[in-house]
Amino acid sequence: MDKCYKSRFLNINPAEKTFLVHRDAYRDPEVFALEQKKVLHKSWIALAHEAEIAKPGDFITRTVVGKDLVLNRDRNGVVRGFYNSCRHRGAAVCRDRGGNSKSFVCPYHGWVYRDDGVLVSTGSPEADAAFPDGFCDGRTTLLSVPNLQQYAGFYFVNFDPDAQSLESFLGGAADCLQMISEHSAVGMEVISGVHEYEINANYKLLCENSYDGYHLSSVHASYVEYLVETMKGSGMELKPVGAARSFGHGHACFEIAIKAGRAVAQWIPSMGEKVREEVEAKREEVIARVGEERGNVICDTHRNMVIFPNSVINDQQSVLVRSIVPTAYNRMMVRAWTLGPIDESDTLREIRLDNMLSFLGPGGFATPDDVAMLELCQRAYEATDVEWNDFSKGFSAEEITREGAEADLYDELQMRAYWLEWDRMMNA
Amino acid sequence: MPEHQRGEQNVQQQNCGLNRPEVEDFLYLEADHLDQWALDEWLGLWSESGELSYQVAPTGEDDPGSLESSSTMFLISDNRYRLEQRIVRMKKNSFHAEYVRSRTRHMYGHVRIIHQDARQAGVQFNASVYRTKGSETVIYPSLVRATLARTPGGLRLVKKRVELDLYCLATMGALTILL
Repeated sequence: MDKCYKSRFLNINPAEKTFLVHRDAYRDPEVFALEQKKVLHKSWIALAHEAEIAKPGDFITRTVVGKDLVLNRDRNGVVRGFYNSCRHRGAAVCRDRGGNSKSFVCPYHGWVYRDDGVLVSTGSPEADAAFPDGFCDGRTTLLSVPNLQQYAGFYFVNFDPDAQSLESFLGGAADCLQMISEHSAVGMEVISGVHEYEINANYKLLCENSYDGYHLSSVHASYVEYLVETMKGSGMELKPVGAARSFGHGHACFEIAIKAGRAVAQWIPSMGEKVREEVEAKREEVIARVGEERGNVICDTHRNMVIFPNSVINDQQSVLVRSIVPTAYNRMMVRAWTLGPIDESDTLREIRLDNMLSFLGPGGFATPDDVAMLELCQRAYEATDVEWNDFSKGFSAEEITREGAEADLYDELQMRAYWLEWDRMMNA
Repeated sequence: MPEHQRGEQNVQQQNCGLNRPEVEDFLYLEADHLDQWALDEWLGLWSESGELSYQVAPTGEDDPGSLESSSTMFLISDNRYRLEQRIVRMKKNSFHAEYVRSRTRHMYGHVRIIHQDARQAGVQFNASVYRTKGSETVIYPSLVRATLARTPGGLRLVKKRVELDLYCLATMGALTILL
């Protein structure tokens, strides 16, 4: 891109090295309605991890991008995704957050669906007899989602019948998911306990924040001071180094080497001497399995990734997945859940959770300050007439066309990659 | 049985002579320190000896009383060091989340002594914490399980574990007040 580019939402001037995004993208309810159709319902959205539906009959209910879904593994081991609505009057057929069941029964008139979604009863033999022949013999089913696919154990949905495959959508982001699956030789599990909280801001603000290296030293000054405090006298230094990387299709991450400690597998003094050996043994196990170079990347670096448009997967103190449910142009619900190796010892599991809670989550030492910033931004979008946000930090025009572009950790390449894809889809 | 419930089964043999009015007086002082944002004074109500624990269990769980922070992701699970660091952080200007501090009102009721031994007592009470920020007010209803120790300096907190009745942290989603 050598020439200037201007759309309703973007204003890019390569000669001036400026990249601006219009605030209507965050503050206009009509834009939100349009982006539901053009972006959110045409992209792959992270839904769950395979460990949540490991056994036949396991099911979970989830809301993603405004759709209520049931995800289950049927008696034959097939993973299925349905809309949570009876075909009769529409009531939800599943009111639990999760469990194990061979069927789903609508509470309204008693329609019974087998775990493969097929209607097997309309409540009683008398009721069955009053419906057309064959009504309960396979011709009526719960409505399946148009697309459900998994990569490295992560299930995604896409509501566009013409969607490209998940793997081609993920592109270079796929390897970050693969790396998470390599934390353990026997697989990962979802750890109990979920952080669910609302933020009064447009969902894209949280995406931007999740891989924004630039804000660490200002917003998280008090967390960084805490980390420095935990390292006192250990001879270790914090020294964050890293890079931002774009993967195409709007996905990007920043990869940062920082001594914040990881159960897989980086020991820091605040974990205590007692577990040093165990953490170091885990590190050796990873390296022996995946090789030294890749093993070091897995154990020493944090990857904060946004899978366009709303799935945040942070591979840091623990693996934290943030499924963002945009509920209005200025409001989102965040559902954050965490993964750990199935074969992790009780000691390392405790350390993982303890270490993560110090930073992440609505009661952590970092997330609340992020939330405060996002809400300040949203408020200003709605209550001032300023039109454009600036994303020019480190901008060079050639990054737009370069596959797998990399930039300084503290630049804004990753957000520009996001906005270019968002703008493309909005104008399609 | 989870460690925090274990004492409920104990037969009372010796006790530290605690009665409900004494416990209530202590808890009202604790609530008052929180509502005044007297954070150092609040920290001063915690026992100086041994390990302490301040926890907020995750929301949306059917049986939060059965959960352990060692295997479940809690909202907050602080030992002494992290609780002290939390207070340090809460007093800084860079604690952006409470730059304009929430006003809170901690209401405690149904206070019961569940068990006591020669040194300490397990108490349980209902709490409603009102939090006001800007023009909005939210309520955090919860069951609180606490352990109080009798020390030469008076009663002290050893454990405080908050089990919220909330499905999720909705309005004011960041938990930046002390419950």
